[in-house]
Amino acid sequence: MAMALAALVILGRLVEFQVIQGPEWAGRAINELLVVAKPSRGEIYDRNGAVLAANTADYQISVSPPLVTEPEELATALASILDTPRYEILNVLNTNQPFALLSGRVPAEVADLVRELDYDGLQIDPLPRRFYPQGELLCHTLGYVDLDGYGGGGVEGYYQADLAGEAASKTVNISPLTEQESVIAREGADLVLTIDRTVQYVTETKLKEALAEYGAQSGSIIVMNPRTGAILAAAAYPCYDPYKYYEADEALLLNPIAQQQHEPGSVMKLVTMAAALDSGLFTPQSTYYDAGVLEVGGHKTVNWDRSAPGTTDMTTLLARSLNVGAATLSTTLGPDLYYDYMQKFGFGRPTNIDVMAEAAGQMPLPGSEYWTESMLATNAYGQSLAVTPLQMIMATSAIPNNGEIMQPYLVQEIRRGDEVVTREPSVLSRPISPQTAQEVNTMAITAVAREVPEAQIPGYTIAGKTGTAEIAENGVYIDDTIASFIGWLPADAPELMIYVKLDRPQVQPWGSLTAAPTFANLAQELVVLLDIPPDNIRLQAEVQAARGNQ
Amino acid sequence: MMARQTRDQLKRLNKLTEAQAAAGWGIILILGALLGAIYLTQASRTAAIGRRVQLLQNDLIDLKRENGALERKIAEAQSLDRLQATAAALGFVPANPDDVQYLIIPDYPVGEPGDPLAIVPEATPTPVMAQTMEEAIWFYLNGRMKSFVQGEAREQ
Repeated sequence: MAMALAALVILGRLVEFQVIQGPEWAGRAINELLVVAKPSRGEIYDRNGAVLAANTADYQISVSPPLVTEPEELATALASILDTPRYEILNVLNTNQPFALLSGRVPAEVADLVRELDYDGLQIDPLPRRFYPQGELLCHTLGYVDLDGYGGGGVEGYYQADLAGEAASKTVNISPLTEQESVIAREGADLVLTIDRTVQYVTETKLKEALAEYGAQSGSIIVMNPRTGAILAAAAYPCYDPYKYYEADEALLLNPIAQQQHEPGSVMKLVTMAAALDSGLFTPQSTYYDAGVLEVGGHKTVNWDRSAPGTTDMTTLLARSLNVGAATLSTTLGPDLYYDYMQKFGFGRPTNIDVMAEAAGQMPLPGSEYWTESMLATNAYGQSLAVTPLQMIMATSAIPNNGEIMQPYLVQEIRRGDEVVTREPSVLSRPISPQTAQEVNTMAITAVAREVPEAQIPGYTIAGKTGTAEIAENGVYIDDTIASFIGWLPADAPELMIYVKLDRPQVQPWGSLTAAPTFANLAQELVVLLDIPPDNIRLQAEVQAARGNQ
Repeated sequence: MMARQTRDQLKRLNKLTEAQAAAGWGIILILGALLGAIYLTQASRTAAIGRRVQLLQNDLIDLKRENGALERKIAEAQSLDRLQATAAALGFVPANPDDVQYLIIPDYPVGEPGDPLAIVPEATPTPVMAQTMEEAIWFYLNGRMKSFVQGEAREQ
């Protein structure tokens, strides 16, 4: 009887819950919930797998005051951790609001201390944040990620869509008695750069040393493989800490390698010479008469040393960096042919490197309102036009690469889960023939050997060109200069190309005395790092290998 | 006499009918209680599993957080500034080209250069997600069985 009564009671309650009160409980239950799955941002590695950019989290500390049972003790504990006055925290804890924010963003160490407190009502929510374990290394090329997760500048900005992934959201039924649906976000892709972290570190070190030694305001160095267009290092100083990008001066957030335009000076003579020889109007054996001055469009071009060397051959023109000679070449080519070559070399338009926000440079063309006839002469020796360091090294790379300019790039792999997309080197343009490239290469070797001992390193044949460009301010050229040197080695089989640019060196204004020795200091370390043997060893090995194949 | 017999028979019949009725109701109540008990058992088990899943998800979040912190520490420990300082403290110095000796070995087999990305972390395989509750429970039970078997194997 008792059992029957108990069973009746149970049944009755079941009927009451399921049938009579069923609709009310169903209405109060949360059967459906909007579930949002957020992806993790992809990481960035150098070519050898070192982490350059990864993810961490800051934390948001909040509280539900109605759930707090010991507000006085909690306020005391939190005050020292959050570095907030105790009374402020206590005021929040004594309210009836269901949710209150105590601290919008604290680092992980602080969040760990709060987590250890073990009080009811506390809530600790992660806020994703990017971090850069190498500090300021490669700051401009990497860029930064703002606190909302958007990439700003560099690779972070250019590959924002790939790195960020895609969140997924769905309204799902969370009743345990129904089929559960999964909400899966598309995780961010990882990037593998062409950058070698160690090469980058050495390059940045040498750049900082050069800026200090020569009293230069700023500077940049690019290291590139001219055969593939892969950028091995891109250093620019001053830099900033991408983790605290919000503290940096806005001007520092610009990428000097790809966005800062400058008059390149005499390094442009390599391009002018290449154009002149490729046109067929000149040969390496051609000569011209250098009277020390050439007037074009009302502007008088003079040599940097005010010399008038008379009958001069092409190699001497390059070696002694004669402005009159360069202007002679360009004016002989004429504006149509000369600027056609300049455009083939890529000047006046972006290189389309995979980095956010690139400047196109400035090269007024005949017919535009900004072009004057004198520019045909001055452009030939790198004045009255503006280029980025990236444009300059890209254009000149045709010389060590048999006349072909390779598309410069920074990312060589994109990894999305199991899928890997690899970037293959591609030819951007062929401005000159292989023969012309070889001829100019030979001249550039002689130029360095004859006139730029500061750029030489024992055991290696270097080809290159110095540059000392005047800086224009308010339409007037001032005393400060941009000192540069562009070089490659080994000269007969180049594996490395380096462009050094120092802004306003105060100790010496000349590229040969500032940028050229910086090039040599850097190259000396890089040949060891990159296992590039001296020329005699390399040639010996090639001879032995050739004999072995016979 | 007949009437008395009939009354007696009726009484006995009534008692039999009452007994049958009681038995019937009893069976119905027992079955009802049994069904209720089975339902309550299933519902409570489901809720318990759901709670366990929730706790495991919280554990997963904590582990991911700790993992991320460790990865960060590893990456910072591998920073070049730190490596250079450590190398210098150990007595290493930067090498010049003159410090390097090259050996030319005739007929040395030179194949394709090694993959410069050989040590790049392997792509993480996408985990298999359960599509239904039954799959989730199966994966859980399967994992427990594997752990159980492996545990026994380790003990052996």
